[in-house]
Amino acid sequence: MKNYVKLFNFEMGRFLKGYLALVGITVAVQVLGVVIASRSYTNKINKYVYHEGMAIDEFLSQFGDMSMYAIIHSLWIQGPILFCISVLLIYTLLIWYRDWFGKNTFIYRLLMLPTERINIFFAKLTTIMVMVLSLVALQIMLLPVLNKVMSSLVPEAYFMNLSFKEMISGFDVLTILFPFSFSDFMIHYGLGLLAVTLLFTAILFERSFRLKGIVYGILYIALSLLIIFSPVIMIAITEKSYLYPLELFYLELILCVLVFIMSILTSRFLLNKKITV
Amino acid sequence: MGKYWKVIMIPLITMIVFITYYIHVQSNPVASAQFFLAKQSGDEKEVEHISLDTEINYTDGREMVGITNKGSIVYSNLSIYEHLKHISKNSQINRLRKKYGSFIRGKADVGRFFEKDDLLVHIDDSLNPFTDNREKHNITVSMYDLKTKEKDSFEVKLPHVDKYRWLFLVTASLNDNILKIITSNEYEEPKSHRTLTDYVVYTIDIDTKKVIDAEKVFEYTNEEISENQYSIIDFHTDKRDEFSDFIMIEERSYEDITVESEEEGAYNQQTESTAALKKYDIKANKLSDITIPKELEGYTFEHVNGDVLYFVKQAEQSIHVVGYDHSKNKITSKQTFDSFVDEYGDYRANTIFYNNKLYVTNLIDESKSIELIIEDIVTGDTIYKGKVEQKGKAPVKDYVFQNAFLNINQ
Amino acid sequence: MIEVKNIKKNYGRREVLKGVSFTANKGEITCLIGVNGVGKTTIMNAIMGLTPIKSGEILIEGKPLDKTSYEKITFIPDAITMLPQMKISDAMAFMNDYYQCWNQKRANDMLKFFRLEKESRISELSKGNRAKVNLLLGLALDVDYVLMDEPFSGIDIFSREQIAEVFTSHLIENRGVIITTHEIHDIEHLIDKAVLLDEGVILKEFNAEDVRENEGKSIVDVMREVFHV
Repeated sequence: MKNYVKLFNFEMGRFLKGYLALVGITVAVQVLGVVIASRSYTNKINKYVYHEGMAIDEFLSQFGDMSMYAIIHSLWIQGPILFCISVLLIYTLLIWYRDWFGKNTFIYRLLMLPTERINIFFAKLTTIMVMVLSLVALQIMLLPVLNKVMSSLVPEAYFMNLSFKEMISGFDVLTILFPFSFSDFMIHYGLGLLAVTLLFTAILFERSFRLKGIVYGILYIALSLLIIFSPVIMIAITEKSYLYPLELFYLELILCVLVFIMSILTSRFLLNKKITV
Repeated sequence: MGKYWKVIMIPLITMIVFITYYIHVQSNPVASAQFFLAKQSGDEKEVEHISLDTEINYTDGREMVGITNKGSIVYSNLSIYEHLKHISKNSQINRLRKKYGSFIRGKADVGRFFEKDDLLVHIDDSLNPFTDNREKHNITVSMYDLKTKEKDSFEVKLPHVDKYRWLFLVTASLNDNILKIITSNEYEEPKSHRTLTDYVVYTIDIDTKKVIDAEKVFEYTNEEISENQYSIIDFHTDKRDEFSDFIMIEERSYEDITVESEEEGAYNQQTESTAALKKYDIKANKLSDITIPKELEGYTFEHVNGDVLYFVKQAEQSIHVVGYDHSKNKITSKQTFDSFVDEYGDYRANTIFYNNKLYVTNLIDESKSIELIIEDIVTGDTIYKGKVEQKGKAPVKDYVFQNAFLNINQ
Repeated sequence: MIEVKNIKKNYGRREVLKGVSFTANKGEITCLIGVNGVGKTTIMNAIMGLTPIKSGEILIEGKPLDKTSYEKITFIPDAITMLPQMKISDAMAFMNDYYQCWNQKRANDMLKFFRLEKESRISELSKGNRAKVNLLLGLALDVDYVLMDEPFSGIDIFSREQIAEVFTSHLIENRGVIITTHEIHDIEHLIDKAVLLDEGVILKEFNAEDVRENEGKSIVDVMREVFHV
């Protein structure tokens, strides 16, 4: 356990600069986006209302009021989110391969540590999950801040204050990232955890058996998916469901947990017996 | 500790943010309005399993909600678990599950159940809708007798079904271990491309599990009578979830007429009426014509309860429902109920006849309020009257209901 | 004692180890000698559990390798096993963090001996200095066995001298050392046991002292005979 925490801390440290860069980019781009969008709107107010004497009501009916709606779909908000998602996806692969393919062969050191090798796996897995969740948390914190920034830049009469829910319900990616119900949150990130675990196991197959390992890895993922979806496939084939919807839900839950455990055990086996530097 | 700030602070802050977020979300459940079906008169029990599913349009968005007498749920706000829980709510299936246990498993979504005292029969016709695979023309009959605890399930191959494009289970009857299944079988005549419908009775001996007879009792050709006039065939049984000893076969004609109105100019309206009515007695294997009294010309046949047939005609803001006992050639009741018409001037979208009750709503395309009236069509009594109202301290003003429909068996 | 018993290993269809057996004792320097690509590094990796073997057995003090073995045996590969962005002090702290057998005093002594700066970044070190740091990180562990893979390869003459000095120092006293090299001149006189390898097979295993005293041959002489060069 102690060694796991040490390794986790170490893995976090290795990506800390990249992580802080992602935080910085997200904050900077989104705040800048809000400032620019608000400025361009207030410029319009200046032009039409103050210089051309348009009535506020007429202006509002023509251009609409200003709210986070106006920006939530723009690249200013979505860009950093999609960028963070892509970086973390790439890092999910890199977190293993950098130990093999760097100038220095750090994997020798990692594998020769006097600790269970599965701790390396857990440390990398938690690092990815913590990075993902903390960036999502950042976005949760940032949205109300952006709303405040906008409200300070746009005159009150033109500004529509949106609740947090109203802000995110307009953007599908956000409702996936932070669903309204806690049980959905557990499902989304549970599936995320499972996906990363499966990918890690596939990477370890590749690192153990190289070219053949790619095939094994793909087959492993296919087998896992087959297990997870087997009840649904059965229903599709037989056109009958012997399980009621909630039972199916619990069965899927159990299958996902089983596949997760299977993946951990397979990874442990590969790390202990098959991995090659 | 100092060295480990990363693995303490980052997860800790993340956790705090998520906990705060979910506390915030839980304590402000729905920003939208809370509607419920408020009783104005009658028995609350009548609406226990009723849900009004409707779209609500606000000035800044829309949502699908289900409104019951207890409150409303916004479907898009349901979590995956809540959604699954919601779709498991069918009161008929749940009653059968309670009574017949695991026998219901795998049968709820396919075919139909027929219950007679403590005997439940499930007829699964789901494997035979298309003739693409002719081998599939089998019907699975499963039976469970609660008294003897005997379960049985067998497949029967229906004879002479190759030409049909579509088989639809109409109803079934069970007497002295003889199961009769009535299907309406559709096919296309190759030359004329007209669609024909055969009503066929398949007689199955439960003991031998074989089809011992297949008889076509009625044949119908779907045809356009004229450019603005056509008719369709429809059937009615008196009990949806029980065996029936007869079916009513109705030919209903439709006519498009142009109405001249000073306000709106000329517009098309459709009228409908029952053109012919037959009764097929399953037990006696007899098809007979029903003579519709002159008085009921222009009425449409909507509901049957034993020998009493209910005919409906629409008036301005009401519908006339007339009960006619065909065995005695006597009109048994005449009721007038409040009704609402849709934008085409049709009452049918807003009325449901079910178990000798008439459910009337004003599910008009767009409305600010929804009313529900439940009438006993035998006695003419109004057994429930209610209206959708808002709960809470700050009711929403700008909204409109759209595309609503009534879900009786929730 | 490290016992390597009839180990076999394939890379795809190519058999790189065709049943290799030898032992290495504590307090002795065992040298695996052979040209590049004969499987020396693979043997080292196999002993350390860094690559699986097809068959055979490797025992350390009579037991197969497990996580506790890494407190008894260390491996110094030919490239440094730390991240380039680390300072030498970071690398030492890392070792101190995970290994109970880490000897900080010895590490500091070696730092002085090699004339290395604690605050230098690994990426900024010369190849020779990097090899020294690598050696330091391995030898500062109080372990019973040290495995070294080509410690002299590609290193300038001065660094080589300094590294060779290590072999005569107390740093490897009482330890079992397995070393692979194809350049044995620097340490020939220190080797206790030589294992000559070619194409995955041990051609000869002999006690260097015996050969020197009884036959009057140096290791290089035996190599000439065995490898026919």
